[in-house]
Amino acid sequence: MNLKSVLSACGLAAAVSWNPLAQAAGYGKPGEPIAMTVGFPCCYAATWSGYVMKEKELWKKYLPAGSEISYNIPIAGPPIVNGMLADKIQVGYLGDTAAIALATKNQVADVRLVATLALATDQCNVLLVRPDAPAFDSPQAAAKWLDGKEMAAPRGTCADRFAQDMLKREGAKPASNLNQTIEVITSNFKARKIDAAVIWEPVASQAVNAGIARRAASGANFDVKDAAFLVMRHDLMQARPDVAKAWLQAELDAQLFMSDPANADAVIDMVNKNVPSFSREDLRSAIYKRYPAQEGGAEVRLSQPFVFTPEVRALLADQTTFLHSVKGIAVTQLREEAVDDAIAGEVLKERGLSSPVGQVTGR
Amino acid sequence: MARDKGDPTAFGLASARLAGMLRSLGWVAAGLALALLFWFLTVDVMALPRFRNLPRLAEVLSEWASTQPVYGLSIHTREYYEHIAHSLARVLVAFGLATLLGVPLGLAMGTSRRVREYVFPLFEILRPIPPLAWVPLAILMFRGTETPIVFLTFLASFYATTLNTMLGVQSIDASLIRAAKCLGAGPWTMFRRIILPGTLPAIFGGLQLSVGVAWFSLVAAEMVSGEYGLGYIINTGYSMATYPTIFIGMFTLGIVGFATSAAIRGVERALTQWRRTSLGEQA
Repeated sequence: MNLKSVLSACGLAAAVSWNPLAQAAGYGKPGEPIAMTVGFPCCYAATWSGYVMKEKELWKKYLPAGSEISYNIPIAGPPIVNGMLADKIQVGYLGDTAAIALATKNQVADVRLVATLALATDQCNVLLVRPDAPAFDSPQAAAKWLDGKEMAAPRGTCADRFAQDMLKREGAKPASNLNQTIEVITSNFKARKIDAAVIWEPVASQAVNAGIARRAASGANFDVKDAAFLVMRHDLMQARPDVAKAWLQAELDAQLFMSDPANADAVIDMVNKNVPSFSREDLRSAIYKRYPAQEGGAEVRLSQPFVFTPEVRALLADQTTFLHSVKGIAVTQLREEAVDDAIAGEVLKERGLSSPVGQVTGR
Repeated sequence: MARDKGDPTAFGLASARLAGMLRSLGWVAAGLALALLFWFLTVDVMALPRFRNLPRLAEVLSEWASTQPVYGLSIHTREYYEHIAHSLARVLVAFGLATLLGVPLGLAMGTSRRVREYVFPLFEILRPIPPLAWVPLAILMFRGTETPIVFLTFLASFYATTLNTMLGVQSIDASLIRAAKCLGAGPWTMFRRIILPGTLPAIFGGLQLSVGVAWFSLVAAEMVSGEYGLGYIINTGYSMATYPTIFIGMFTLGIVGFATSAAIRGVERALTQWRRTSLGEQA
């Protein structure tokens, strides 16, 4: 093969990679209908306002008539991160560390955190132990018990950060702290191969209700928070500020709907319709149940700051430092423009609301 | 006896072989260089639409060679070699088991119609099921962490070895078997002198496939790992969106996989020397 054939191959690649439809489609002009894809993980309760948006079609009230929204709902965040970088998903609902990791990939695509979906202490930070673990005097004793045990947490997630924080505070050194996905952790609990794990809701409540694990502590006992964020591609925000604002208005409606206790059954119905593999009891426990304080229960299952309050920004800074420490990202702090809640603030102001817009209380 | 002028000397033969090897290596290097050039041009230089989101060649190579890698993995880190060692050990155990079980089963299915009728339908039902589907069952069925990984890596490898061995037996010329029977060969002689030598090339073909599929099953298998392995770093790279690490894992897996296949080709060449000699004599 000579240089001519190499250049021909590159020319062929250029021809194959050029997609006239993609170029023609774009985002359109302000006021025109838009077709876009929204992604959220099925199995992280802090992002469930996505289900409210989907099922109630709240966006129809704000987006230009004729707009079409399609959904990409994988089991966890990574497909959404990849989909947004590849411009297959334009709006995403993500847990804190996934959103931060995504916002640092601005060499590939500029994606920004535009609103806070939830701030909590036991949505992501739930320590589960095997059912026959001893009865602990306190959540701190449970953390100490992890010394020399086999435990697991998905690496680089909010759960991992909580696990490492808790272990450090209590001076516990597990025999191994495995990096496993939530599916593998659940199977390992079933097979009684691990002593403990830190995972998120609703998988944590599902494991507890199935009797394969027991809650032992949460971020509530160690003052460690977790969060979820709404993220958008910046090219969408630039080309269609009307769409960005419309989506945030609808998202605010979704959060207000979720925080009204009278809508709890309706929210569970919406989620259950999409994830029938979880029982209604699992889903209710994940977001509306108040677990005992001894097991890491908290009165407020999640609060909804909507914008980036100092508390949320402090969490972002901590999570960014954590991600850098585990070699998950290349930077020690987020670029300034990565957190952009100007439109969210404008939406709140127009509605005469202030942060937090609501909270979901456990009962 | 006087040597002919055209007779090759030992030195001449060795030189010719060395020249041939160097020529082959040159072509291999050229092929790899062209692939890298294609990557460099499409991603780093032209940033073509379907390629521009990929990590740049320079970024991946500098991370791979860095003494202080951004994402924690390079040829200078101890973890890199631990990942390779874990994966290699798992593949070798899985491949060894697949060979020990697959070759006899393939021979039995090839030589005995009854065994084939018992086993083959079940074998064909199980064969298309991908290793990923076995992950939860493997965790529940096997003790510890390593055994499910080895099982998941073993599966596809076992199918390739067994099937190729069976087909190898079936491809033996029936007239050879009839002739051997006419000459009074018993079952053991028939197996030793006709079936096994006749099947050996197909067995090694199967083993080449087998070691290859063991490596590509490893990425699914090491989802279970939780600590080490090339598949593990690819999975972790995906979940943390650390793309250079994914490429480092992929290339390393490819290189180690290539080396294991080459080793099997070497063993095959040594064990089937008789075949090439006889083919050469016939020619």
